[in-house]
Amino acid sequence: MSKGNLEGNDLPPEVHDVSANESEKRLTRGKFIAGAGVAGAGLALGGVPAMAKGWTPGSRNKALRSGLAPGMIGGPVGFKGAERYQYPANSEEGRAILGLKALRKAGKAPDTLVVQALNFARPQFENKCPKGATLSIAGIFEKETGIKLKFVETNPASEYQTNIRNASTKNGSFDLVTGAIEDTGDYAEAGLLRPLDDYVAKYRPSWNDPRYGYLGGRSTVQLFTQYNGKTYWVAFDNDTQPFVYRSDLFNNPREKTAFEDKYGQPLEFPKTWDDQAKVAAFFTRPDAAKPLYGSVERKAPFWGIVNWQHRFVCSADPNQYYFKPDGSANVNNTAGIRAASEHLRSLGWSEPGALSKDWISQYQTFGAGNGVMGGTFANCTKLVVPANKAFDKGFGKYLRTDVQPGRIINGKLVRRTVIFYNISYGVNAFAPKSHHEAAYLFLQWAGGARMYTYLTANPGGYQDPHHAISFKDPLVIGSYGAEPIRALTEIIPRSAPPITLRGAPQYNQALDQELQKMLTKQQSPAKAMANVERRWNQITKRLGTARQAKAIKASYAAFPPKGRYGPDKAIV
Amino acid sequence: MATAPATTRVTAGSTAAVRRLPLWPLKRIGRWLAILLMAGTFGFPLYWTVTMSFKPQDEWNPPGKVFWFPDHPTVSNFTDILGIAQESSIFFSGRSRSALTPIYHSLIAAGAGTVLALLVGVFAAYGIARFRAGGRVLPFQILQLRMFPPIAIIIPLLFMWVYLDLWDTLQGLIILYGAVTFPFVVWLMRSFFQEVPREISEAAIVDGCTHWGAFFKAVLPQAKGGLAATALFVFILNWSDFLIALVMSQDHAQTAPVYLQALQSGSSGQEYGKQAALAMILIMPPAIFGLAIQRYLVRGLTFGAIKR
Amino acid sequence: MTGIEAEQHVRQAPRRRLPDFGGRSEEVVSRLTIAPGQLLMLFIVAFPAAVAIYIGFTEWTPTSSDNVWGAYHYWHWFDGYWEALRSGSFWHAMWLTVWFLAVAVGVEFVLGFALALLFLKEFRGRGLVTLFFLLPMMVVPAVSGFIFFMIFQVDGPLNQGLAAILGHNVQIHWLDDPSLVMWSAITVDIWQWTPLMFLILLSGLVALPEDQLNQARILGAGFWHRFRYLMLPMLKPIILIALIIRAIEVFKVFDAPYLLTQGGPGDASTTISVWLYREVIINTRWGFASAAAIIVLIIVSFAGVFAVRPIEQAQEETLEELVGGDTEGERQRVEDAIAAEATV
Repeated sequence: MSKGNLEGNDLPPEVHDVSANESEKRLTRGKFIAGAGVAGAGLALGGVPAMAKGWTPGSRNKALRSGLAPGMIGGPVGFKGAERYQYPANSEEGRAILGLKALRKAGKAPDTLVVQALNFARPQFENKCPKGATLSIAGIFEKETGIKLKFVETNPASEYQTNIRNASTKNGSFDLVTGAIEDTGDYAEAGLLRPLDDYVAKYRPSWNDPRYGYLGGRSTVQLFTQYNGKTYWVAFDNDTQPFVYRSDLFNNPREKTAFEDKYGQPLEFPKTWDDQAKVAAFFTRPDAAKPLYGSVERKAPFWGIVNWQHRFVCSADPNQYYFKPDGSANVNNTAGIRAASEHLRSLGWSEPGALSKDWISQYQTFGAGNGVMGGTFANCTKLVVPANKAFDKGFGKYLRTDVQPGRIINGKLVRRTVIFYNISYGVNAFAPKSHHEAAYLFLQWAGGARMYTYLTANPGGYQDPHHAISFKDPLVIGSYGAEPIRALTEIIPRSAPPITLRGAPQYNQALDQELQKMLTKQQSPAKAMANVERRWNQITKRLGTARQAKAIKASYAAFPPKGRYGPDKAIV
Repeated sequence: MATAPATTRVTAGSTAAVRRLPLWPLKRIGRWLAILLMAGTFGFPLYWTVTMSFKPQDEWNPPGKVFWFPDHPTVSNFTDILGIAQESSIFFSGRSRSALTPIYHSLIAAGAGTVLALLVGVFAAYGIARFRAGGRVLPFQILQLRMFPPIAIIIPLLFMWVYLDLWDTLQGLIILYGAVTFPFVVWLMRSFFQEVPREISEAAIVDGCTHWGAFFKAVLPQAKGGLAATALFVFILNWSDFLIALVMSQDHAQTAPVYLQALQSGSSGQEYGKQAALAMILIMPPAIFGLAIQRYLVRGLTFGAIKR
Repeated sequence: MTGIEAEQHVRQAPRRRLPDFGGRSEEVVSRLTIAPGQLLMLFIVAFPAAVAIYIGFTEWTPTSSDNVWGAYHYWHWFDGYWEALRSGSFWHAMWLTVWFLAVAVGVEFVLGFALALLFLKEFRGRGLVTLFFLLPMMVVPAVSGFIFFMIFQVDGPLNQGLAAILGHNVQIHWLDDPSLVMWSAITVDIWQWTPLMFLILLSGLVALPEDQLNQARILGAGFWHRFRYLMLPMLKPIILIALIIRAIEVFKVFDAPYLLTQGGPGDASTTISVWLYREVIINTRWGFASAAAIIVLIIVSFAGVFAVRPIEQAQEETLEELVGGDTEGERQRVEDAIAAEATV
């Protein structure tokens, strides 16, 4: 793994000042979206010149607009600010491109790389963004290396079984595999993912770099890329789950007074689950003219598991792990039962029929003003906006995000969010061996700090940022909004993994089924946790306790390290 | 067929005849009411599908609200999945493939699969009905083919198909569809063939036909109606198949039901409106087929003249 | 030629020696007719069955480090079978499936029959209305799944419609009340497949001999009398075929319970196909799932044998009655008559 600052060239100093200026200069969401109305390929970003004018005037701009900035060997061109995303030779993207060029010259790289991707990942690769950009990311890649990208589509519903099928038939027809973080163990053990540590050592991506690396440092890198001590993915997503809430209700003076009268403490975004219970109960008014539901995090099958996990993982300092080091389940205890009871109680603060409703309904509930707060995906604030009438009915503008509530353990506030579903790319071990290196280099290049920031600035896809530097980028901030970005910088370092072991779908299914039985009153929380423990231990035994224990111990490093507490104040 | 008047001449054992009121208008109304009620119940989900296909996204499944009729009807669902005017905004990623190719694949796979099942099954049904071919065991064995839960058989079949290079090909799908539906053809056609008396084929043979001639010229025409109904049913089965196509195809032989399941996007999840639109389109081939053979479905099965 | 003509033809057949119907050529023909079917079955069944039996003796999964040929590394004899037989969830799934079958097939039969009877008398537009009733069958099951998913939502049209009729708020949890979810899934199946029963039964009803029925009515037999003693017995073979075919399909029902509730909540709607799906797709326990599937096949085959064989016999008897009885004896009589004439 790379250590220290490997990046030879500094980015233009102006970049660091962006956050100071942004309150004046950044586009309102509406303007950005309006300017960004897409027609077919390509975004129109009419507002960018207005913003860029503020920070780099003069002749230097003219030179930049036509090509690469001095010292840069590649990257996007054609729009103001493009040089932010261009890279010198001594950078992870630069090394990747130079490596690819060398491979091409030696005839050791293919003409086409076949990428398995979700259909809604493609716009970020294939559309030109922002206005003025001469090429899409796929286009830039082809221009600089001569390698074309071909996409093979999959979809979330069948992605896991498709990959298992491909693993069992040793399907080498595509070079890059896409998959969810939960399935890492299964894919790795099935031999589908090629371990990447040799390439990582050779080409030194900047993942651990303080400036160009993943926000949150080493634990985030482990979280996103590793399983059982080896690297299998390059991160191309960030599905940490923020907690969204309606700021207008929290700031409303009448509500504040009423709450304080009732509970004797000020009304503010809750930092602990106990406080969250009070606020949720206070705001649940199903019979009001506009029904309000205090806590609308999802509880439906599949979508609800992560919300139990949120209440669970923060129950110890630094973390409440799902498994003990010897491989046995760690859920049939106070932490697990309490998380289950809270999960059950919170059903009473959700909209009717919540057990059959997914995240779409949740966004619509927020947009219509019926949802007060709840854990959800990071793109909630990106999608519940006035330009998207399907979701927003006028209340999207009040939505703010924060870290999930936590618990006070020995005087320290431990708040954790759990990653859910995160999609990344890895190298298909069954693809022709001569393609592996080039496939990896594409990932290092497109997943590098600059290129990946550029990729996520395109609002046309789901791939969310996770590099430290992305959160200071004006285009990214323009796309997501300043408050959510500020929240994300606090959320990511406190993100914990879901179960990523071999057999994760089985563990998750057992947990999901027992929770569903509890939520439909077929059993008590205590019984549910006892059943989960029993079933998890059965699964572990069947898969091989020693083997699982080894992976379990390795997974601890993917959780936030000791000392990561708070934040104590509301973020926005 | 005229309904006989209710007031009949008095016969032995029928003392109530004189007092019988003309019932037939009431019966007719009652019958129509019953049919309408059934049509309403069965038709509501169809109505829902139709209206859904014309609804814009915010009317698909909004929490707490039901749109009985679209407020802002749109054809965008249809134009999008057919690739005519692909909806593209930052909240929808442009669809990389329209539904046309999967529909085309479905037509070929289901159509040819049905033909294969009919070819193999009709002969076998005749053999079993006429000659007791295969003894008492074969019909049951054939039925057993349908009894095995498909999810469990699909995995070994997958390995076999990959080995034979039939995976992700239309011919692979055709063979599978033919094989899994031919038991139906056998069982349905067998009962229809059994209703054709032996004398017919025997007479044809006496006339100088071979067994095959007897079959094609004498027996099969008698069972035309049954054949039509069987063909329709088998086609519907193959047309709707999802599991086999899901496991046995990826790009080159993707069929419409698999494409349907993939109609989701990162910003809207399940795209109900577009799925409904595709469903409306997918209803058409079986419905057209049904329309074409409609007269056989109801009228063409008269053997009444032969029965003693 | 029509049936009547054929019958007349037989009666008028020239008096020459009848060909040997029981001869070897018939045997050859009969073998040939079933040969393609047998080949197809062999091709599709033999190899997969062998593989399924093989991995049924192992705990092989695709995420173990071997491919399928190396499954013997995980050999555990009958442990998989034993586990399935002892598994509460397996038998629960079987029980749910049987219950689903009984209710669904029963209701579909009654409704289909009622519809067929309603359609028996010719009326204007009957063909088109028939086609309308066949439409649910033509909807792809994945679609009917999500349509009903929306209809059954707590704030969906069904509850709202009921609320309009009853006058107060209706919040029935069709999709997450464990005691209701099976009924919801059954409803989907009934909606989708009653048309099939309707089609088959209508075909059978239309084929009934009108003259006999007319005679019975003229003689004063009421509708129900005719129905019970004339129509039903004559329809028996068709009814049995319809029931058998439908039962076999319903046993494998997957789309409705899975799309509505993923087999949940918990396992309240986990039919055997959903259970197997979970074992294959989510748990990737392909070895164990094969063993369980073989158990299912054995059970269903037994049920099938005990159900179908006697039914078959009854069917043969009924057909003989229908088609004029003792064809063997009939032929013998004809032959004798011809022989007798010939010797004169």
